[in-house]
Amino acid sequence: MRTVPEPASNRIERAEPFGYPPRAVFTQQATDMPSANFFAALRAITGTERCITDPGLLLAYECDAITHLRTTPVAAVLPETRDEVVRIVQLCAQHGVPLTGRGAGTCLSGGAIASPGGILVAFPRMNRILQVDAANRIAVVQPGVINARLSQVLRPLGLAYMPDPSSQTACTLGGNVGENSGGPHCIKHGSTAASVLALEMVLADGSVAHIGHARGRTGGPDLRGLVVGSEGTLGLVTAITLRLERIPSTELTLLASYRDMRAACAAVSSIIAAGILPSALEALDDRTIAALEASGRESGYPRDAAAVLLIEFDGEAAAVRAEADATIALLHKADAIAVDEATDAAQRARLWRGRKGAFGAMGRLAPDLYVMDTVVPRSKLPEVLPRIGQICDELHLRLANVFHAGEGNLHPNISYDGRNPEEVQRVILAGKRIVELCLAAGGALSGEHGIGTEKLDYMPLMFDEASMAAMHTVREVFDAQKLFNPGKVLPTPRICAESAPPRHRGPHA
Amino acid sequence: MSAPATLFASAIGAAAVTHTDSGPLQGRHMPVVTPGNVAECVEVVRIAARERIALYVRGGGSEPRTAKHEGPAALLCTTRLDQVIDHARDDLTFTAEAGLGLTAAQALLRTHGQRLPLSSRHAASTLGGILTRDAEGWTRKSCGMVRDQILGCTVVLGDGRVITEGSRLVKNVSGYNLTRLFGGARAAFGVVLSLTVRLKAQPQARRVSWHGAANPAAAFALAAQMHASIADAEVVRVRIEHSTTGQKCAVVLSLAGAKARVDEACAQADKLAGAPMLLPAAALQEGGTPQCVIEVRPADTSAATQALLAQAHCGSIDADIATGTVELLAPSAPTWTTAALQTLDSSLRGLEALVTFPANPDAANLQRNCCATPNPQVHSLLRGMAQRFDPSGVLEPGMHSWK
Ligand SMILES: Cc1cc2nc3c(=O)[nH]c(=O)nc-3n(C[C@H](O)[C@H](O)[C@@H](O)COP(=O)(O)OP(=O)(O)OC[C@H]3O[C@@H](n4cnc5c(N)ncnc54)[C@H](O)[C@@H]3O)c2cc1C
Ligand SMILES: Cc1cc2nc3c(=O)[nH]c(=O)nc-3n(C[C@H](O)[C@H](O)[C@H](O)COP(=O)(O)OP(=O)(O)OC[C@H]3O[C@@H](n4cnc5c(N)ncnc54)[C@H](O)[C@@H]3O)c2cc1C
Repeated sequence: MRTVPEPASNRIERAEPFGYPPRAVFTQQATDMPSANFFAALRAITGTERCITDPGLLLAYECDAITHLRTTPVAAVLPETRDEVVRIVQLCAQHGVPLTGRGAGTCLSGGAIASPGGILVAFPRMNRILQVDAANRIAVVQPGVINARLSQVLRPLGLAYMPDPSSQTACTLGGNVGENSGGPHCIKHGSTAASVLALEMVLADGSVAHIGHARGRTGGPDLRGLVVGSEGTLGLVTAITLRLERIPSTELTLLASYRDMRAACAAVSSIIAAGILPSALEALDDRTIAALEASGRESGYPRDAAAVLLIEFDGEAAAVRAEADATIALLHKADAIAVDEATDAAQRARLWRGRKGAFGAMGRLAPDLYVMDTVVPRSKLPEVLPRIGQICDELHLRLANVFHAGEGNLHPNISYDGRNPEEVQRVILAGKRIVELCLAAGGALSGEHGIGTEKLDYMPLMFDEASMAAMHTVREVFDAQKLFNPGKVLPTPRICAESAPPRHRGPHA
Repeated sequence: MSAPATLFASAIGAAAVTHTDSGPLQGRHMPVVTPGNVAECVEVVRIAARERIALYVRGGGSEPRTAKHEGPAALLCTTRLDQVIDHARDDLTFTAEAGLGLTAAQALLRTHGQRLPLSSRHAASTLGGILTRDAEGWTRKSCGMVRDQILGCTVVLGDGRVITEGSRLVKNVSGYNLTRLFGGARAAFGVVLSLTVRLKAQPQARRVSWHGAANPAAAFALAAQMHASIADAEVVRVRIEHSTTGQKCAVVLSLAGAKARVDEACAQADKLAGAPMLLPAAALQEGGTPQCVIEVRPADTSAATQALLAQAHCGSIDADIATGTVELLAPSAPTWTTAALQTLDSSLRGLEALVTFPANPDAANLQRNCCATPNPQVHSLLRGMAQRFDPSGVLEPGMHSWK
């Protein structure tokens, strides 16, 4: 049996893939190719059509939404049933071939790319909604169901699945479980973990585990909560039981504009400190607004504002009104230029169109966009945001901010040209400095996009050796052979030792 | 002093070690070790691991337990680990040592207009006990499950290593969420030293009301109507006071939030059910540790209540129709004969119920998971982790069916 190779160290090189301009990318090289027998056995499980090995077709799978991190899988398979997943896992275990689960590939941390010499197990064909139990407000779905599709199906029943990543029209529920994804409405209703009741999961030995329970508690340790957000490193999820909520009877959206981002952040801090819990509290800066204008998306955001806050309340009408009134007073107290209120569905939809289209609009500013993800305590937003601006100015980078302000979850977005390796290095350096800044402010590495390969090297900045070792222990218990998505989330102990804080080298240097 | 008591006394001082005759855990006499701070607590666990002394952990002691272990053993009591580490008022997070009592924490936070989204019927329950028992109370419907409220924790593992997992942030997906793993694990993997919990604002207004009903069926029907029409009710519970002479049934409703909304919802409720009797807010958490807790899917709450009514002939039953939790409250434990348990099991099997007996000293043996399918993979994963985190097996032997 072949042992699964640890990922070769990331290295920069000029890659010249077909069809789009060359990019400076960090590729991981396979050290070993699986045998011809392996591929034959793989095809025997899924058939040739659902086992992609053609190098041209595999290009579609070589990166996720963070495009400077790439690995070409040796194959991509598209199972249709749980039994096929079991057989694929067993085959990979037998041949020591690493495997990575893949939903829509919208991951923003390089977590949905194959490990060197490994295959991708992509779930677009396991996309059935298996059950909607309206009486208990539960849905059971396969992992390939697209997030927004579930909401569409639920709407006529008066029910909603609350976690709503901005990528919800593309991303899958399996991917959401992999990352414990958040979204604009997670401040009140919780990230994915709060909505996942149970999981069916194929383990490294090919057995099927049922983790968690539709009723909520299991009477023992919460393995379900451990698996959600483990980025596909503990097993492959084949069914998900989700908690649903009633569609709220009233929604009210506010748009507050500010002369500078610091004042907007101070308003956010004061809303949180007052104990008000909106269903969304998002911030966008002037560069994002300009990008939206340039892209032709009609959002209605004021052009002269340096920052806007998009705030929503849901619930019963009288409660919503009371919270909105208290918030409006705080927004004015923090020197808002204007506060507008949208009550009808069309106005609300227009305001949200801007927020949901922000990444797309920014994508038009430059060939590449680096969407960063860090978190700070909400009270630290007014001091951290301007510092992030300074870091990018010092490195001559174009920054725009659109983020989940109510949770302190920042998304500094850097537009850059990936064809210029020197600019890529500056982007990565900015990323490192931003991470260090946020950690120093009491923050964390990621609020919703995960560690993937992007932040692997930063883990020892946040966790001490014993805490990292405990995570490795969990990994070993689930998957001693390191079959599932190796090289993601947890740096190898060797890297840990080398990178004990303080560290002064770039993540991929 | 017995050998374990001497060892602990020499490490953290004789005053921190007592030996009671009554036996802190039914079935065994053992020294009670009460470390005065986190460093002492870590030291106690390290000594236990080295010397292979079984450690049972007690927070507020709301759950009586039986220790069947034969070898050297001690009870580690966390009640002096009661310091507030950080009350981040403006960030709505609260970090404290695990032995801090929920009542004390709530009293402190009330002065700031805040509260922990946790609840217990037992005044002495500690934050660590609530996390490690994943012990839900009346706050579950309005605030969510306990496991979603705990943001991070520091734990001394059974092998003596101290780890810090999660963070003090309301959102964080950096690395594995081991805090979740400790939720519901009791002390199987380690002793929780401190934890961070989300905070909520105190509601501007609250009204707890009692709406009488003719019988259980009428109470469930009224509760269902209230649950459907008042979506933001804090608690909707059926209460059945049950004795050999008869039954008294009602719906207990709690409405909390902005004053205008509470007034509106009160009017809605009273239109449905007539003028109620008002109760003090404390009524939601009276009753002491429940003798039996049955958890099912919400739509099965009434069926689970019927099953319990058939077996428990006295006491009160609180059935939360929004969360599917049915609790039996009684001053003393009913006798759970094998025949009664078998009948309960079979009436609950179709409902996939989880049945626990928190107030019963033999709770660990009585607990039943009336699910159709056994789940050996989960047990084997948990066992694997326990073997690594607690390699000498000193933490609470005999308390977990899977360990
Ligand atoms: C669904 C459910 C509902 C419940 N409802 C109620 C209720 O309404 N009222 C009530 O009184 N009780 C209830 N219980 C029982 C519940 O265990 C206690 O209320 C809980 O709050 C324990 O707090 P405690 O500090 O008294 O813990 P204890 O009773 O002292 O200990 C309970 C368990 O927690 C572990 N533990 C305690 N502290 C730590 C620590 N720091 N580190 C590791 N392990 C620790 C112990 O090993 C022990 O197994 C319920 C339990 C469940 C599961
Ligand atoms: C424009 C844009 C906006 C975004 N907005 C948000 C946002 O608001 N909030 C947010 O949290 N994220 C956001 N993201 C990031 C991304 O969409 C989420 O992380 C999403 O959950 C990924 O879903 P996916 O189906 O694309 O999964 P993938 O990217 O394919 O996979 C994500 C992870 O899950 C694992 N995985 C996938 N399926 C399985 C399975 N069946 N079993 C086990 N592991 C599996 C993968 O191995 C990988 O580690 C955004 C991304 C983009 C491009």
